[in-house]
Amino acid sequence: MKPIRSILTPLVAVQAHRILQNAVLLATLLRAELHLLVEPAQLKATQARLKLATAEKGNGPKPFIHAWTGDRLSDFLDAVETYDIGLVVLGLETTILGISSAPLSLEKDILEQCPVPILLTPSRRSLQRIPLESLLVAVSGERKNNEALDVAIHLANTAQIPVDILHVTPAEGPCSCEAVLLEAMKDQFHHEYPRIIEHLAAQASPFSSAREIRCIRNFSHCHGDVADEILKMIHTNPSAMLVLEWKGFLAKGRAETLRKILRQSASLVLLTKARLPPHARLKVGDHFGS
Amino acid sequence: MTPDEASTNEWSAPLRKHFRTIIFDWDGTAVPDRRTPVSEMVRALNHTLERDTICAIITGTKFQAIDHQCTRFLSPRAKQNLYVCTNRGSEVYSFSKSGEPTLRFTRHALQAEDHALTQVVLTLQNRLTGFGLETQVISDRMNRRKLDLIPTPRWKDPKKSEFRELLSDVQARLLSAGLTGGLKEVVELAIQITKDCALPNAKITSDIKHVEIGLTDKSDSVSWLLENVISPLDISPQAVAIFGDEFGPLGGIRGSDTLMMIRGLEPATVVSVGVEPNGVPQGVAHISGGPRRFTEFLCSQTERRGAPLQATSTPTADPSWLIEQEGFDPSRERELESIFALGNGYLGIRGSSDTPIPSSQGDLFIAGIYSKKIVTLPYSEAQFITTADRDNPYSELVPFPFPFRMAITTEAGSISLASSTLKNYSRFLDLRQGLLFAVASFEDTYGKKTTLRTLRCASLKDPHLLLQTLEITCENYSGPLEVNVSLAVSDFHLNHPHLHVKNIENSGSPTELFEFETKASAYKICLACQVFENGKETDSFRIQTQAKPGEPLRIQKFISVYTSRDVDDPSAQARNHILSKECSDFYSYISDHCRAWSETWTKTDILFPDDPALTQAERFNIYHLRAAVNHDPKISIGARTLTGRAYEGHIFWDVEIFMFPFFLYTQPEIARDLLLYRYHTLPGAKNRATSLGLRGACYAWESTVTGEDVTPRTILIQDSNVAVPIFTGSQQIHVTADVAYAVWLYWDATLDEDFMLRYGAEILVETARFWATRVSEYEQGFHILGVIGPDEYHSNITDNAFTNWMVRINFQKAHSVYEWMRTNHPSSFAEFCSRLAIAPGEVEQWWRIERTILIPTPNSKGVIEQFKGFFDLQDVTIDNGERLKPPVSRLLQWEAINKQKLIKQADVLMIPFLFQNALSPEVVRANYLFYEPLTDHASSLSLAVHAAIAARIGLEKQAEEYWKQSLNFDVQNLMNNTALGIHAGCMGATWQALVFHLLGIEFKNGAVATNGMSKSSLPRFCQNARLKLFYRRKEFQI
Repeated sequence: MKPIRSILTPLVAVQAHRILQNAVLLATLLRAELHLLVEPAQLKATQARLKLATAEKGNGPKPFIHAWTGDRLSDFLDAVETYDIGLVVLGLETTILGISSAPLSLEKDILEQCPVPILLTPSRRSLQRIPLESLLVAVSGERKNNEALDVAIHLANTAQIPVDILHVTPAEGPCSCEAVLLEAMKDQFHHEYPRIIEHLAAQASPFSSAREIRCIRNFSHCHGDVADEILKMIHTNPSAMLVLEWKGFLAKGRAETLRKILRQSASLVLLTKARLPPHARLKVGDHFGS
Repeated sequence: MTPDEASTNEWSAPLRKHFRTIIFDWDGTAVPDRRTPVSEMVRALNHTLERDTICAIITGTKFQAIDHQCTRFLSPRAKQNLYVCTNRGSEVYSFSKSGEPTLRFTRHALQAEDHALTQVVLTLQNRLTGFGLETQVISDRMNRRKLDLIPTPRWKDPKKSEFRELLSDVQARLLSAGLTGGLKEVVELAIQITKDCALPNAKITSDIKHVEIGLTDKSDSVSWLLENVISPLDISPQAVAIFGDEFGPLGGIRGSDTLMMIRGLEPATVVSVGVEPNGVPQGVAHISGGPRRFTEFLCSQTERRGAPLQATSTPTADPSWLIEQEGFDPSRERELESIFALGNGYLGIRGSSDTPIPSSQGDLFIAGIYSKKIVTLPYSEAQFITTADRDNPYSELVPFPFPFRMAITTEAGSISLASSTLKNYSRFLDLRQGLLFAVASFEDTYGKKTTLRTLRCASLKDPHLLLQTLEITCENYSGPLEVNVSLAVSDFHLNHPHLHVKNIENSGSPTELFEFETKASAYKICLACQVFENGKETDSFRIQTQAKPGEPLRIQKFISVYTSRDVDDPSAQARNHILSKECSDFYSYISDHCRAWSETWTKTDILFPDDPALTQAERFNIYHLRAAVNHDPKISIGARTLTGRAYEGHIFWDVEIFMFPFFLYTQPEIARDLLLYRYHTLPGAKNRATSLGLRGACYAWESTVTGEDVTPRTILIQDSNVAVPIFTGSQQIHVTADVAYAVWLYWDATLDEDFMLRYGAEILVETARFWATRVSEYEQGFHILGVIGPDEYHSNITDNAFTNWMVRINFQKAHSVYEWMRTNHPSSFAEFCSRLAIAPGEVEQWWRIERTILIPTPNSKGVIEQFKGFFDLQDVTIDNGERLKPPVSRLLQWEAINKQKLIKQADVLMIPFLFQNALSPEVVRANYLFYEPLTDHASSLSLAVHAAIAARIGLEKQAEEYWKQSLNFDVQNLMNNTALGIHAGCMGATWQALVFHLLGIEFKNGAVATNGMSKSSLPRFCQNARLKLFYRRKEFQI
């Protein structure tokens, strides 16, 4: 992934102060520019809050405030492109975390259509700012599902904090056909499995060096309900930011697991979207001679 | 005349180029006759050959005549490039490294053919006698008969220069006898007679004086060269010259040298230096001048050679010889680094890009260089592996820095695969030549285009030598260009924790030199490097120049690797080695390397004419098997060879059971070296037996250089604090009998008495001795308790069918060889018994155990119980989705799995896999049908065995499916672990399944047999497979 040089925060009145605090903190941590999308009516209040937030942080980033008018989703997506945004910080209303028939909302649209990672500050979070001491990446073991780990490795190296990896094997049902990297036995297990974990990191973050990948501190493997196990881990380490990859839908696939985590999580959650791998193939088997 | 005197301007355009192969007739072309001294020609030929042009002499005479006149004067180096095709297409000779002639091909006449040849020539003579013509039969030629049409003193031994007169006399003689068609009529008569005498494919030729009837002619010589030299070396037909002196018709029959113009070589340049009174056929350049002109041509060729040969720096055109990557996905880089690895057995280098991405694992491994296991991965290894039992200083194969790394910067920025300017990338592993090619193109946002082409090899000819070329072209811009070619790497201690850097020399010197020492095992290793920039030596390893649009910068890099396992002073040796290399010889070294691969392929290649994708996959497997071995008798092949870190380079039963047969029946000298490794680690095996309170030798389940067992004992899941015991090290002892089995297999296939007397017998005795103390006697028989069979899901079992079977074989063969020595080599036998302190009753005891050891027999349904109590275990059903990817939870549930009928890999089925006829077809079928559904194939070794047995019992679809999965295991990354190294055992097992089961080949009475299988009964996809096997010093074409 490319370095995060700019952070965008669309400010919604309800949680504006808390979101702003976290955005300033994160921008400072990542030495990134901070861009704010603000409704015209909130401009004054935002400036006041910003003054407070940056004052708390001392030498924090100089924010850029942009008026949020017209079609709000279009404005948001334009801003992401125009300002080369690498990360979006967003408050999360519980309404979108209900069942699949949840009403449409701006947050939902942003979540589903935002092309860059999104940091969510769940509404039940009582803390006022991020006590960011580590990153917890939950991986499914799928080969093409490691964007979260890549993002986490980059963030961890920038912020000088460790990464912990959690791999949960679902208690019931066969493992997914794609989930063979970590969930399948490989010959003499003791020789293969540790290196498979190393390989997972290399696959996930191929442009990170061995030194950068050493930010990974622990790898844990457990069985059970995926959401429960992740929440259990968050509970034991509330100062960790959870980093999850998702396919971009709140109503299908493993969305229920995600919603459950977001509803109950007391930690910050960073959502990254899966990316398509670049084209590469070996001309063997069915591809022979093609 | 010396080569320098040869003019390059006097030749017509087709001859003003460098030819890679020159094929030439002898009499009249290269030499005027067989008596005239030809020192000038010999000198020119020597020069040509020493500059790596391949030459082939085509002659009707015997080898001794050519040797007497020419080849004995050539240097051994020159002879490496020479082939002598004698006896009119019936024999081909090449030369050993020391210059000794080696018969490469011979056409043996069947008794019936020999008889028919005589019948033809006598019939022809009778017919001509009927015309009143006196002729004379000459019968002492190999595979042919000659009839002298003019046996007169005048024409006893005509010179070529007299041929016009000879022809006139012969024609006159025939006309006067009433043969109005002259020589042509006689030849046509001979052709008719061959048909009448059941020799329709006979080759009829004439040199005017004689009519010759043979089984072969010059076309057979050239066909052999095309198939065995020109094609394997990927020499373009355009780079071949064919010289003769008799292309034009004589006496109404075609010139004999036109026989050298065969299909497949149509684009070759064909030249006549003869008189050619009737002109030459179309496509032949007539330059006349005889042997002197031919000598001049050779001289001109030595002058032309010098520019790099295009053919040696391009991949083979045939895609079945290539593994080609198209595009670049960085997340797959480690997987592809394994696939594209190069090796020569002495060392192996993963196929990382020349400008590696940060996560690349471009390891260089040197066979036999182990050190103490170091946990480098805190988030994984520390999680799973306890460090206890890991104090052995030889427990992990050491990864060395990637020697081909380059860092390139141009006006357009950094040129690497990590760059966002990368547009296209292709990588080609040329299996035939053992070369790795890559092409990358870049374009920045300003449209500046850069192309990068690279080539590398790990020389198979000189295993200490690595070669690399790099060509960078700034296509449409100019500016500063910098290439850092230093061997130095960043984060050395992080990436190479086993090594101390003892010394670095890299400034102000033409060589860069790195001296390392392994921390625990104290091996000394030196990597030395020399670099040339556009053909000139450079003493800076940071090359800086000004790039011009479209003008490539060419860098050639020589790297030398030596260790204290090879020489006392590896640094001095590496320095001398690298300084002896000349840039101008770069492509000669590449050629030598390619030729070594070519020789390998002539013995090992397998062709599926109907399915090039299968050919490609099988060649890929054979390539990696061969790249894993050097002729070092003190080291063997690790599970992932020298291509990856998994298994830490440990050596398992995979070698003797799954890889060994491939080497034994294609390159038996390598098989011998693999067994010598077991001989040299016998002390470690004996120590192990002693430590267990037993006698003899107990081979390690996981072995390195000493033979001590390096299997970890426990892994600890630190999260849950669950300790999972690893029983394989202490219980998977069938490896000891597997080694003995391989010794016997080698003995059967080679009858190598020297090996058996000096090494093999001792292995057989010491292993039998171990088993004699390991077995338990009760219930009127012998049993083996507390073992693990090939199926590693079940530990601490009793009477594993496979283990007991192999142990019985061990006793049988030890006993048999003991008796053979006693009978045939009494003096060696006495010394042997004394040295090994074989007690009088010891061998009788082996015999008693051999007869009464429990070998589980088939039950009423024909099924052999895998071990005692297996039938009573819990039934299981394996979900299809779990095949090849059984859930990881089985690791944690090892005790529960132990109680189930769940099998990791073929176990009982190993018996019919190794011993084709040991069980009846009904029993084989019953066991396959019983065990196959219980097997989850968590081992790469399982698929080929199931393919083999399915083929045996006629389940063609399953056989094909399993075999193709096994064949493609790595190229399709079937288990998602190819990134950790290729699966050599799987590759060997696949070969074995094909040869001995799908094709049904076996050896009987010293020859190849097909186990009663007709071609039509073979699985369809392999019915037309073609390969060679070697058995008891004979070559068999299948």
